[in-house]
Amino acid sequence: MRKKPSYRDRWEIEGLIFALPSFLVLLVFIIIPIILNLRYCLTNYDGIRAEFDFIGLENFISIFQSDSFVVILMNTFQLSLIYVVGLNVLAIILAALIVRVSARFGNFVKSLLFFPCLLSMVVVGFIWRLIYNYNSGLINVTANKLGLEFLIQEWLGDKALILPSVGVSIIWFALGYYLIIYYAGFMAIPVELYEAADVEGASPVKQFFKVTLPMLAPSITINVVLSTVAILAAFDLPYVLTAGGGPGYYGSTLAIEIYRYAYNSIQQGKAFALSVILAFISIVIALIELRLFLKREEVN
Amino acid sequence: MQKLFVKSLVVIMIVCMFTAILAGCGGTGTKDTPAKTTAAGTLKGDLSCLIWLPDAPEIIQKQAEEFMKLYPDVKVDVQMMTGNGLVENLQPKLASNSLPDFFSNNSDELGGIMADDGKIADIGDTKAFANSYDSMQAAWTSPKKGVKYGISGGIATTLFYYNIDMFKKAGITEVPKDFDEFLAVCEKLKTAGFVPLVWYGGFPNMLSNGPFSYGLANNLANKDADFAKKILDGTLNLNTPEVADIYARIKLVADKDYVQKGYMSTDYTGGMTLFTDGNAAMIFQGNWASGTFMDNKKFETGVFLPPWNKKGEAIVPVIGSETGWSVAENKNKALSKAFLDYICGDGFAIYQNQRQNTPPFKQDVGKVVLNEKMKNFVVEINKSPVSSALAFQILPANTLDLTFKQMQEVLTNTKTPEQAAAELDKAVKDYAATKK
Repeated sequence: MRKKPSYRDRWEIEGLIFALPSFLVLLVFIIIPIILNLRYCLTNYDGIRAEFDFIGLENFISIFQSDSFVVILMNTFQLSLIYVVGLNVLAIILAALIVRVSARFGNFVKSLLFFPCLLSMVVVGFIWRLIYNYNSGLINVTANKLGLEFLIQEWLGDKALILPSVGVSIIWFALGYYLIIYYAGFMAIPVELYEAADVEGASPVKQFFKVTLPMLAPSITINVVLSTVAILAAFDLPYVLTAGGGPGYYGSTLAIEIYRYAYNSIQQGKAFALSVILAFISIVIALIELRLFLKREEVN
Repeated sequence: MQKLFVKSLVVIMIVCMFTAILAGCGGTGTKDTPAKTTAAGTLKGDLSCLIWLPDAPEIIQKQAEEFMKLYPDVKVDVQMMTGNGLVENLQPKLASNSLPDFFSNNSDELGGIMADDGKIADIGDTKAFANSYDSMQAAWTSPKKGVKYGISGGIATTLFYYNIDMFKKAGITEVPKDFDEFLAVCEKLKTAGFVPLVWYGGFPNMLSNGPFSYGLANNLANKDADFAKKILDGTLNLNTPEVADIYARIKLVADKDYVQKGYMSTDYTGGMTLFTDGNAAMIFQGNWASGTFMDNKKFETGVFLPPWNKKGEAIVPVIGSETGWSVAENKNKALSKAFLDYICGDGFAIYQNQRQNTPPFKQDVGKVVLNEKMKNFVVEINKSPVSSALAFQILPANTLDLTFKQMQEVLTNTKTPEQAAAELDKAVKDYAATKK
């Protein structure tokens, strides 16, 4: 009769030791800050003085009652929509084009498009501030020289244009990363499916919608969820580009407002409370997306 | 045996990795490195600096280099502040108890709080403090514990620089003396085909230092000498037509098209360039930048006191302290004070000569370069019996950023001036209530 494996055999001690550093990093940089966050969001801690009082849900009530909260929430959703839809549609179209060209040229294009991802978001923000500059920016100066007056706009000063301007720059930054994932998804689609579709007489457009998109479902799921979570928490690039969420609150998102509460308004307790609200919104949206897309994957 | 050896090696590697992670945590180490003075005039140690100088970051770099030449055993590490102001740069450092040894600071409520909380060293024993004007010494002394917490970077005021050539071409022979005359001057300039005024819609910090500060001075200070104290106490009603008028005037010049196209995205240096390139007739800026404007080779520049007063009333000037410097209360403060005495002593000329701001010192320290017009201007405004400080020195620390947003909201018609005044009143009173 075989001897039952001991606990020590099942859980080798060195396996636990290997996992320990990662767990400690997770504990120190993720778990403990979350617990402290949940504590401080119920206080009037200002981030300067050591003394603070427990004030219950006052921070949350104050945030929900502020005039700017609805504007900032809508900005966050608007920017997310521009970013997620724009990024994923563009990445799919580009991936679909790149798979059709030679491998060498395709690799060159992919490298070029991936380059912005290597830059710091702050640097990208400053680059786009120069591009969008009203008097000396690339867009307005070029438009002026070509006589395209309608393109001469206050890209970062007009409340209708500020969020699309931020969206374009952040899509430019992240496109390469998501393109790679979609490209891999395209390469994993069996060629036989397209051959069968050809035999059935399906047009290229029909093949795209009936074969390509359903087979790309796992890539779409992961990219949509990742890009949603990323944009909801995005801070550096939007902050630099909008010079702190301006004009007024038209360029402000929840992440920027968290920063403002914490470091401009010296209301750390409110900053913690708003970060809890943002985390809740992110989790709900991510869960809804996962549910919808996974269901779609099952159907396909 | 081999298996035991491999397991031991693995455990040692993991312990080393873990120790490396822990070693990376914690401060820069400079706080715990006390300055060593080995002999008279020699210093040793590392000094961390965080500086606000968006108009000329090269100045502090040069000062640090010169200091390191004098004291080869000292290493000065300079980092520049970013963003719209000092608060957002200092606050995270305060919260994480990692203030740099030497940093830019303002003589405002936050500065006083930091000093009274023991975060800033008392620099009352430095030569720099002893040489500061009495008014500057008073401005940089904390209200509760009397800590001498900083040195002013200069006497600060905001004023109008104007293009004399454009004024002549527009037929303007005299500078305006009140707000109505100012609007008339703007109209003449506009008719003559010039952009009358640079407006900092994209950098509301400058709107705060300029029109907002002058609004406080000419709508409130001239009626109540204690208005600044009452604001901090929360006992002054700010939901008034006078306060709404402060915002309304900022909006009025924009509504009348007296400002440059794209003003809502004009940043600090962009605005300065617009004026120095001859693309606008006037700019509402600080005397700390007079070197840039008065040394302009393209045209002759004049200055005048911002006429934010009503007809028949005297202009109340704004006189305050520029952003200055403070020293953190830590073991490195001896070295930090030595650096402070240097940049306010032998090294001050590096700072002053380029910027041509007004020194805050009783005795000149080194060569002072100051345009004659600026010198006369500062002498004139100091004669005024009533003056007011800059907005950031008056408003509570948490409200200044709100006013930045409000000015932009008023300019973009999101809020009326009356709504802004009401909101400011509530914010100031809520803050005062938390201090009780």
